[in-house]
Amino acid sequence: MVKRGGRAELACHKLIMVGSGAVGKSALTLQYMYGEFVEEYDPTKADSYRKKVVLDGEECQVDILDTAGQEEYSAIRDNYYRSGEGFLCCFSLTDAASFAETAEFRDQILRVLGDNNTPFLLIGNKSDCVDSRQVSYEEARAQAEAWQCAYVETSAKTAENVNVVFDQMMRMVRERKRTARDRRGEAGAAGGAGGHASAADDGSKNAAGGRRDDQGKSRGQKKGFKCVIL
Amino acid sequence: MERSPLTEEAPAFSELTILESYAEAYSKDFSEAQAIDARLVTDLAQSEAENVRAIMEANDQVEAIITQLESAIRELDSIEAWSETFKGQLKVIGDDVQLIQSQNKAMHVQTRNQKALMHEVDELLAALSIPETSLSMLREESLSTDQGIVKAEEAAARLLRRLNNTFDDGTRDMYVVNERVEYFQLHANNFAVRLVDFLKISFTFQADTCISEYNKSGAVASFALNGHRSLEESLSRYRGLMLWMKEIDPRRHNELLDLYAQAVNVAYKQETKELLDFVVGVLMPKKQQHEDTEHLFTSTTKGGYLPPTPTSGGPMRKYDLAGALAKAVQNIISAVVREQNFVTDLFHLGTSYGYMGWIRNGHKTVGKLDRPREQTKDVKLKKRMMGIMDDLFKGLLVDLMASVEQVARVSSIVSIALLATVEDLLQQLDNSNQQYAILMLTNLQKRLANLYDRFIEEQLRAIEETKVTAKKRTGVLPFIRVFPNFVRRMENALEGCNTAVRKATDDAYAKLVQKMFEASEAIARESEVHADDKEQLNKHILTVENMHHFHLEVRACKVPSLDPFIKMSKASYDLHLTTYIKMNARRAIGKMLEFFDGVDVLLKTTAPQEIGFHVSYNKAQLKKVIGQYPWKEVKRSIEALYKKVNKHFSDEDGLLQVVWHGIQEEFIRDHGRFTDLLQRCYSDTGLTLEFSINDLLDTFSELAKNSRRR
Repeated sequence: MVKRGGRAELACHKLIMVGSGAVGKSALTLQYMYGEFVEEYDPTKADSYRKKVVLDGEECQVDILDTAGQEEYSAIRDNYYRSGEGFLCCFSLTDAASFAETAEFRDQILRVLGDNNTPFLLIGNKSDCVDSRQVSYEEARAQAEAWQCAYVETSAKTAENVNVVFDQMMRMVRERKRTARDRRGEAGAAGGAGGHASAADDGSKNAAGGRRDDQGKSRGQKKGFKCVIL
Repeated sequence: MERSPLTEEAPAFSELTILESYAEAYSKDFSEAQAIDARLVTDLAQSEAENVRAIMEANDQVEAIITQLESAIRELDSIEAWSETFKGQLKVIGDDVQLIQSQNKAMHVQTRNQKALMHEVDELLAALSIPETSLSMLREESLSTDQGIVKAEEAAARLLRRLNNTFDDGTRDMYVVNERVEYFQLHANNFAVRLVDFLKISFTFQADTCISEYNKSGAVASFALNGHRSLEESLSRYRGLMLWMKEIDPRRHNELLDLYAQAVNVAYKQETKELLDFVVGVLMPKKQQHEDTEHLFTSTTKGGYLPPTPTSGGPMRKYDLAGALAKAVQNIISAVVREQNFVTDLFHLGTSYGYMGWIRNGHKTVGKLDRPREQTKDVKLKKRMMGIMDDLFKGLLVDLMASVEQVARVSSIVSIALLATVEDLLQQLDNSNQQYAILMLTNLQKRLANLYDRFIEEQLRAIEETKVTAKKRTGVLPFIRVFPNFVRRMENALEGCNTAVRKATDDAYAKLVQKMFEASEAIARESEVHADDKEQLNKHILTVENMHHFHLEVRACKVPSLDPFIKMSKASYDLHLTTYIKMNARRAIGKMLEFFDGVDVLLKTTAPQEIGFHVSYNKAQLKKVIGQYPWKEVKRSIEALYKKVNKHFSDEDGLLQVVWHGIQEEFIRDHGRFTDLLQRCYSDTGLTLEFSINDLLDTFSELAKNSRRR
């Protein structure tokens, strides 16, 4: 632990790319990581990426887990969903089925994490393919609104909105970590050492209270996003 | 009357005609013949009478004429005598006239000659005289004001014109001419001496000013020289007089050049020394050792982990400083280029125009000084230039070399940035007049290339040594951790460079990567013999972690020459990851795998229904193998494996997920394969595995649920 001191100081945000196969999760990741667009399709099993970034003038690390889109059994995703702090749920604008499947991914994430406030973004990729579009902006936005999350359309090919979604996701993760830390701090001060369970209790109550708060915030963010997209 | 036309037709025969007319008349009228006869007789008598009378009268007249003729002859004789006399007299006069004429001609010549002589003498006098004011200007006019310089230039032009006068042999021998020429030369000489004395002081003064201005300017803080603008501006004013000097006294002109070089050398020496000292001082941080371990390979690094490059103010500043010496050298070379151009223009080196032309055509402005100029073909001039430049920058190369060595000792990256700059400068100066700068740069390049090679050798050796000294044999190896930083630093130092050092660096990368791969392989191999690693998994963990890190980080460096190695690392990562996963699966359900693998092999030659008859694969064997893996056992193995994998990949969270994902898939795949084979080959036995796919999935979910959120 001591030897890791250097890195521990640097916040590391763990993001997970989820969504059906061939929607462009890896393409988005590679575009973000290396600024490259990789055209050939090679189904991912699971790949881990890490990058040092400056977010709002603050240095941090982002750890991206790029996952397989077409496993037979969703249960094997449980484990890495547990490791995720923010989810970029992707579908292809040219594939209505992939849009429909986002619901399954979301359900599983919520189930595994047992937490409705996990930073989550709905991402419609391949926005450059105007002609073969199957999912309308309104449709997808309605879905996002129902989920109370933001919706962004991206293109891994043209890099449109790619940095935007990753940066936004990191901000959401960072914000969430801050409030969690503050809460822990308050709880620790109030409950003392003995009340570990009650502190956790407190936390969950706060989380419930904070949920409304967060939702309010996420709506605010959504508005911000609308501006970006429109 | 009818005959009249006849008469008209032949007037020549008028006499005949008359006779004929008579005849006709006769024939016509014979009566008239008498009359005619009578008339004829009368006519004849008459003419005879007249004839006699005439003869008688003529005698008297002849007498008179003869008398008159005689008198006329007398007169003529007298006239002849007179004309003889006149003739004699005229002859005398003619001689006189001739004499006078020749005398006159001679007088004309004399006059012309005298006029010519007058002119000649005038010219000579003009050539030999000079207004005293001019001479006094040369003696006394202030040379420090622009006005004074113009006046002195004019006076000097006048003097030069006198001295340039060519006299013919005779004139040259004239005492007065000699005396005057000597007089002019004396003045020229005096002025030359005065000019040298004046400029000597001026050179030193200007050089001193340059030094103090440099100190005041603070240019050193931006690793720059201040330039000698004020000196150039001030001395440029004397370019006319320099040319005069060059023409009238080449030796003194040379002397001036030497004096200039000496004076300015002092300035350059001081300035470059200050600059280099400053740069070297800045580049020698106290905590060098620590910072270098981030991007350089050291065999002494303890442990497997090095903190990643902190990117606070410190290292960023250091990034800029890597270019400090390069920038300093760039500025020094710019100064050398400019100085050579300036000294060429100031002293009119290699030019052919004369002073008189210079004065006539107005003062030529100094040429562009900052750009290298075209190479001269004049070998003598080239040599001379080298000599002058050597005087001007005496000791600079030595100082530069010393600084380079000093900096290279502590920061190889700096010397690589410098090498890139030096090569770039050499490219810019190629084929130019800047022989001296090229010579200096070539020397630096050689030395730096040498240091660079040595540096890479050292790095290779350090990697080699890590192989032996590395204590920790897990996690990302120090050199793999360092390499991306190293590449980034190198690329930063070489930014935009496409000279020889670019190629050298790509070659160095290749060597280093090869060495690193070799070393990590050796370390991985060695870890196998470690006592606590019975399963020989360490090798794969180490390779997976290291290749993953290499692939991830080096790919982000975006260096084209590293692409093949990125692919290699990816392939190695894939291979070892698969092996690790398979080995772990084998550990949990090994016997079963072995059994069904055997079935798979057998299926290639045997029909599915007949597998059961094979002695090693009959129902009993199958039952035995299945019995060995009750769900409780398998579940425990999976749980133990989960813990183990968590431990193995504790340093890399992302990788843990990747590996566990792979293992889960592997179990599911194996389970699917087993069920499939049971169905195909053993459906009649009614035997099934002791656990279902859902048992596996539930366990995976359970493990996920219970795992501490990281």
